[in-house]
Amino acid sequence: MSPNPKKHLPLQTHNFQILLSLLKREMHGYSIIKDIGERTGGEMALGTSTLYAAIKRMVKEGLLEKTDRPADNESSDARRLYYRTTDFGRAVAREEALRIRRLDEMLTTTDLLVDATSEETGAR
Amino acid sequence: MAGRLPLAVRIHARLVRSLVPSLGQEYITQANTAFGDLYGDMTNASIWQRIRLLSRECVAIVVTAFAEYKEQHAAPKSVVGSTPDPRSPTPDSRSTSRRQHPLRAFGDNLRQDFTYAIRSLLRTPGFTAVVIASLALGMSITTTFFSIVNALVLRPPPHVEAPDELMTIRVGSRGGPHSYPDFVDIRNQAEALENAALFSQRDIVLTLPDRPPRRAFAEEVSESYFNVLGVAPVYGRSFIEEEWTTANVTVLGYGFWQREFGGAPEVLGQVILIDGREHTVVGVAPPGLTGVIEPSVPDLWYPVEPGYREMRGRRSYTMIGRMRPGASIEQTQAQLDLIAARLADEYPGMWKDRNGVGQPLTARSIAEDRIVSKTEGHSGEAIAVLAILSTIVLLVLGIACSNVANLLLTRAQRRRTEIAMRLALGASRRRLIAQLLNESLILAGVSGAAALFVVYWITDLVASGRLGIGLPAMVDVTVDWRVALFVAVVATGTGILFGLVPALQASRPDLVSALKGLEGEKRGAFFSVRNILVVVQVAGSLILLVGATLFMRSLQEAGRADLGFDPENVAVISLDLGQRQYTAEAGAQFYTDVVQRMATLPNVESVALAMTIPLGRGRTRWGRLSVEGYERAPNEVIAADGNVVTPGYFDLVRMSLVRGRDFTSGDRDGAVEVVVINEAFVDRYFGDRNPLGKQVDSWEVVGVVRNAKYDQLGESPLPHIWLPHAQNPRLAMGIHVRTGGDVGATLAALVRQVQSMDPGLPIMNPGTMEDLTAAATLPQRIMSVILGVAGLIALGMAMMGIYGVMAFAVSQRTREVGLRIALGAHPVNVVRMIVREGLLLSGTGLVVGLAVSAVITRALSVLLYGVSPMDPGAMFGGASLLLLASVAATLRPALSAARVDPMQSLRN
Repeated sequence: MSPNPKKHLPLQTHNFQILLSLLKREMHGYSIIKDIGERTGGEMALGTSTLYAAIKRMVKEGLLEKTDRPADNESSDARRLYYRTTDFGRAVAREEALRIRRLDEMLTTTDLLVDATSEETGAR
Repeated sequence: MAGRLPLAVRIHARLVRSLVPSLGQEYITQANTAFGDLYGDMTNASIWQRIRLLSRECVAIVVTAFAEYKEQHAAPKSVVGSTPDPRSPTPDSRSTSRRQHPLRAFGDNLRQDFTYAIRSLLRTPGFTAVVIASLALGMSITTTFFSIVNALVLRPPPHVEAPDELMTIRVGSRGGPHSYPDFVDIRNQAEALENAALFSQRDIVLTLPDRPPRRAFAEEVSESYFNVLGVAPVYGRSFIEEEWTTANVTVLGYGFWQREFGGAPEVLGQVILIDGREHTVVGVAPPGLTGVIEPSVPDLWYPVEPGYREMRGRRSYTMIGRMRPGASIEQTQAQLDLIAARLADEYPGMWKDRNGVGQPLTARSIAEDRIVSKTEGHSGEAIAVLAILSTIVLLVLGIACSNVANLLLTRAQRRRTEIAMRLALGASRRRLIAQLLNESLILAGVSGAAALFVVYWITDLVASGRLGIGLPAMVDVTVDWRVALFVAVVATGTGILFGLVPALQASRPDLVSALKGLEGEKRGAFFSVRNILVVVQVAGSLILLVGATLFMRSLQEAGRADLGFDPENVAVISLDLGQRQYTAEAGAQFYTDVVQRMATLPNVESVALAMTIPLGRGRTRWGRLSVEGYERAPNEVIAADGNVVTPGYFDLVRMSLVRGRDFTSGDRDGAVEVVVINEAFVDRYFGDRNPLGKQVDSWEVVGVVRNAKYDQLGESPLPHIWLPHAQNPRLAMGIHVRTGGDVGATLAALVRQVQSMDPGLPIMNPGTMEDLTAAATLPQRIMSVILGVAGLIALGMAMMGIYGVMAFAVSQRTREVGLRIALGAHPVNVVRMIVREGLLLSGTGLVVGLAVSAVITRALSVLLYGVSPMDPGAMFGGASLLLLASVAATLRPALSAARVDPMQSLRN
């Protein structure tokens, strides 16, 4: 288990999205997929096998952990396992977010997106 | 939660389990649950949205499978997210280092060939589709057949630890069952055995909490069963010796747990009723755990009932043993011989036959037993079915392959110029062959994948029992790696087989004439590869068509057969009061009540009980009878099938009495015991003597009825006896009601009546007698459908083959035809010439096919009824159909030949 969160960068997009979902609360696979779908406006539709392969790896590497199912959740079902982000996972997600922000800042100094932004605003 | 999961969810589960096993059971279960939820959200979605969800999942599974595979075979260092991100600025240096690898050139060639092949296949989509369709068809039939054989015989039982160490121990040379006390004796005395267990597959009546009772499929086992198999439950525990005396526990099957309890963990500790007795659920078996010998998946396992453990005469269990390390089957067998001798001394009544010879014990490896137990004791029928099926399968695959080979040959001929050009430009012949082979391998591979999907679908259909055909219910015909491997081998094999000949031929053109486009002018010899292929196709389809016609004729005959009784307008249900612990008296009273109440209903003509249904499943045999005045030959055993019925039965099913009387209410317990026999019984054992008043065993003959069919349509009249129910009470009986009105309505009334009298009583096999007796023609019906479908497919492919060959021949001979027309040949003559050549081909195929069918159809005679396997109608019917088809296939090429413009063709 790597103590240095930066070693995990850059994160694969869907791993980052999974971490983002689980930052809010513990969830099981179905609600993670739903959550990611909502956040990305349906652009990212994770397959269940992709999701669980990723979860398995992230659990192994200490980014996620299994939890008991939340008692407050009415729809909780004993068949489903719930996951949440560990402190380390949170640190990794933070580092990734910083990396993306730096990237974003870097992009504002280029004219790569000038046309795109103006077209977008123009369309509105 | 009851009922099966949706097909999409099951496909998903299978795919994940077989393609991404590295995920581990826990994550696989979670992924399946999540997909089930996602799919459950789509109850209102259109079919296309569902298909989209499923296909997206399938792609995700394949991608994940690759990723997992790569990760497992990559360098040990692996960190989340370390896969190169396209946005990552880190330069990827791997491609440069790999270029120096010596295998790189080979790989490049391969990839080039691959893309080239795919591109050239996509350029001719029609051709590609036809080839893939024919191959996929051939392969899916082959693979379905293989997966059934795989399930029945080849695949070792899943989850079982070291199946090689397991053996079955059976009684007698014919593989008989054991009783529980015998099993204990054998287990204690056989030192070569580490442990042993008993099992027996049973239909039980199951009552889950708050649900109506229903039938279920279970295994009654000894306490050691799971330990001997080395199977640990996925949830809870298995049986423990200490609780064995009470025997009120059960282990559920995984699928059953999922289906009936939605996989809820609260199932542990629940009490369910098995045949009316309470059992507490203590565990859940791993998914797909089948029986050791039979590949069916039990709903649950429960301990041998305490009462049965003392009954040495109750021989109904199969015994399996696990050998001690280092012990051999031979060693075990030697010990078993001693034990058998000891048992024969101790219990001569059970263990010695009439001649005082002790019964042996036979040890066999379970792999061997799975095969032997399926052939032993079966009539020639099962073997005939198997032989016919494998012949059909090979024929269809053969026809598909020759069809594809022909198409490929044609295609290669058309591409002669292209190939010659490449050769002239310096391509090596090896490289060209490799490329052509590549194309056929791609075709075969895609067809194989398509076939695998078709097989998934078919096996699913079979497993769901919706087809209602011969396969034993709930056989686990899943597609496993053996089936996948089989498809891979068949695909590669056929790919090479049908690809090699065209590739060899095409890569050897006469360069000059090919480049000029002239080579085809040579008239092909009659025995060219392509012609031989067409002949093979025609012959193969004729064999299938003749077979199909034979079975259809046989069905027709069966419809006309004189059964000796009239099953029309009779509603039947079967009950087993023993499942509800009725006593003999209560049972008799119950049946009397049902008969009385039903008789009062409108439209009901008569009501009677009978233990078995003629031509239905199940028969009962009375053995070791004695017949008054009949001298038995030494060792002759008088035995007859029989039935237990109530008064009025013969009239109800219209079996006419030829002498004496029917049973009456006077034939009850305490009165003279009576029997009714049939004419065949009289002929066989009484001859010209009057049977009335004579004794058969302790029974007095009071009546004789006309012969009927009892077991099979094809049987010659067999001796049969009937005993009155009042003197031979049985708890399991079928209630027969003849109606003057609608049978369906009567059946419903009958079911309602029984339910109102005992709501907890399961009603088995409700139906009309006509449907139930139709079971007798089941093999014919299955065969005529299978052969009919296979025959039509083959016919279609043969037509394509003939058409392809003739069209090609015509296109190659435009110059010749043009010349003929220029010299004054009439177009009609040209048509006649081409058709004649086509007919010569198919005629040769027909002759070969007829000769081969004459030999092969003999094997069908066991299954045919009222039709000779050499039936001229079937032979010539099939032949003329093919002949017509081949004329049709030749006509278009012939007509286009007649329209050749002589000037145009000569100028070219």
